[in-house]
Amino acid sequence: MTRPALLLALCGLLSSFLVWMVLDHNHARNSGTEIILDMEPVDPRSLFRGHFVIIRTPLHDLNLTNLEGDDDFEDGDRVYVTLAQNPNGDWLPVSTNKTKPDSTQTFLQGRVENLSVFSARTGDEYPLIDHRGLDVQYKIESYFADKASAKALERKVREAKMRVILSVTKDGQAVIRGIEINGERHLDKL
Amino acid sequence: MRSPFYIQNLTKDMDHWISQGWVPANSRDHILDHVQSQKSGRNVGNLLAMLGVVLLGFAAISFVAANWADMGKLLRVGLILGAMWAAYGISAIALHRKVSAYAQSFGLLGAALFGAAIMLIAQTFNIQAHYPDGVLIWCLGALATAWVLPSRAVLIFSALLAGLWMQMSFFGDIPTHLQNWLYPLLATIIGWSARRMRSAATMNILSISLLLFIPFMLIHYFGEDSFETFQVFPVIAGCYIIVALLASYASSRHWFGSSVFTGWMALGALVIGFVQQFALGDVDPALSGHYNYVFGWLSGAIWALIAVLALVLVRINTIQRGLAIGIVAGSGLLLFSPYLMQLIGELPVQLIHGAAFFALSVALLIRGMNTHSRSLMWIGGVGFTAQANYVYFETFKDLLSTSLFFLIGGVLLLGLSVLALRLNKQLSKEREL
Repeated sequence: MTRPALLLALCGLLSSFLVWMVLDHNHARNSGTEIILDMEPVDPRSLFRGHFVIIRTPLHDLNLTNLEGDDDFEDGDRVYVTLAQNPNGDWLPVSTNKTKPDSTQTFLQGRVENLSVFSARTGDEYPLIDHRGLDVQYKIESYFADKASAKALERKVREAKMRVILSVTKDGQAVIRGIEINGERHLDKL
Repeated sequence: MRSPFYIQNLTKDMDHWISQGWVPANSRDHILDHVQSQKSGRNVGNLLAMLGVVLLGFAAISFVAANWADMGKLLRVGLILGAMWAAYGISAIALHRKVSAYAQSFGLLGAALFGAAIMLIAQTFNIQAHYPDGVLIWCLGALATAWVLPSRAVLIFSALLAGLWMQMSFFGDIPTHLQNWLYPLLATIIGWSARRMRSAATMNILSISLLLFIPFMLIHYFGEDSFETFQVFPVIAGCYIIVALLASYASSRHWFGSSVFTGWMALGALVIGFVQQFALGDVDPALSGHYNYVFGWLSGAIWALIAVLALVLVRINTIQRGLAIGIVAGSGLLLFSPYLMQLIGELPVQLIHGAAFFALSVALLIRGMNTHSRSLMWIGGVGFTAQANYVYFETFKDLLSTSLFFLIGGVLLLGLSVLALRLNKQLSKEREL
């Protein structure tokens, strides 16, 4: 094979990777279990990747004291967060595990970004007791939008009218399927 | 004119070829004169082509940025892929027609667009893999492009991306361990490619990246809050000295670019030797505990390795015996000064450390004069001046009034500058002779 042909073959290989990125993500978005989570208000940031809304959900700050399963995590550890729906239909964390739960359960796979210990009351009761907190990332932390849309979305989040719709694969990988604004679904498409 | 680095390497190689009898000794000056008088017209052409491509890249990016929000997602992907194919296509045509400057320039643009495509597709479709992984894949794409062309410019680009990925992996949101083994492997492949393509710039980038990788790795392994600065500085310097000794061996075997590693690692060790004086002020005389024990043993193991390497290099005539003794003694002092301080007190160790640094700086100055090496003279001169300032500040900062302090300091610096100018003049005269 000549060098020019090799160069074009390399370009084809790199393009295939880029196309795979798009198709793999599209498959994950369309085929997984759908869960919808409330979003906590966080300011939009502008970095090299453009404007985006930072997504924080109740699954990002976990209080291990209130959850079942493992609690001996370290920074960077993989964590499986099992979810269950309450009577209102909201998805809430019920346990954290180091190993993958069985496939009948709905769970998200994340990485521990930070461990913390904080003192708090349990309900209205005193004294304060130590709680172990887990800051987890699921690779769903940013929702990209142009500058105007990002600011508009941010206002919606502040007014608590916006929720994130996720698609979760069988091995717990989550991708953003879209957002829900005032109960109206806006799903991402190709 | 050809680059000073090329001429320096050619001079070394020439002396070796003459000693082997491959080149007649009387041809040496003719060849060097010829090479030094060569014009660099082709390089100007390359540079202009590169600049042209950079401007094209900016034009494309600003056009896309202005219209990005109005485009459909698939149109965006098509545009990104189209731009990448156009760049690689033009590069392939230029390669076919043997127009190297355009082949390399558009290859570089193609490699840059590949990275932009990864980021833009991730942004468009909200794909959020571990962020540094995108830079790693970009680096691998650029490295493959550099290989296929082959192109030094793209290789330099891939070395920069490798360094960026390594830094991002160590200090990203989520700690990873991939870089611990993959970065050395990646750097070895890039280094080997640089040797084949004779890219001195790539070797410099790799050397600087290695200067960063060693402390990052130690901090990552032991944990940021697990040790004191005075404990880790000598270990880092010891690692630099080991790499410098290995690179000296490679240099004696005429491995391209190994002297670049020796120079950067020696400079790194020298800087730490100076900075360690500040850190030694924080040593707790009653220092104890697990990490004191671990770093003590680690320092001992590193020193033993340095001694063995120095001995081997003397035996195979790579370095002189005096230099080897200096390296072993100096590194021993640097590695064990925190522990020595616990035995004999702070002041004697500070004095010995300072005197050794002075001696090393002067030795570098003299070595630079003898070998006509301006870089060694600069390093020795800067080291000497920095040490003089340190001693002056430490000794008189509390004893003299402010104005007198600065007056004497200024006079001392002027005196040192006169000395440096004289040395420089002497070197120039010797060169003329």
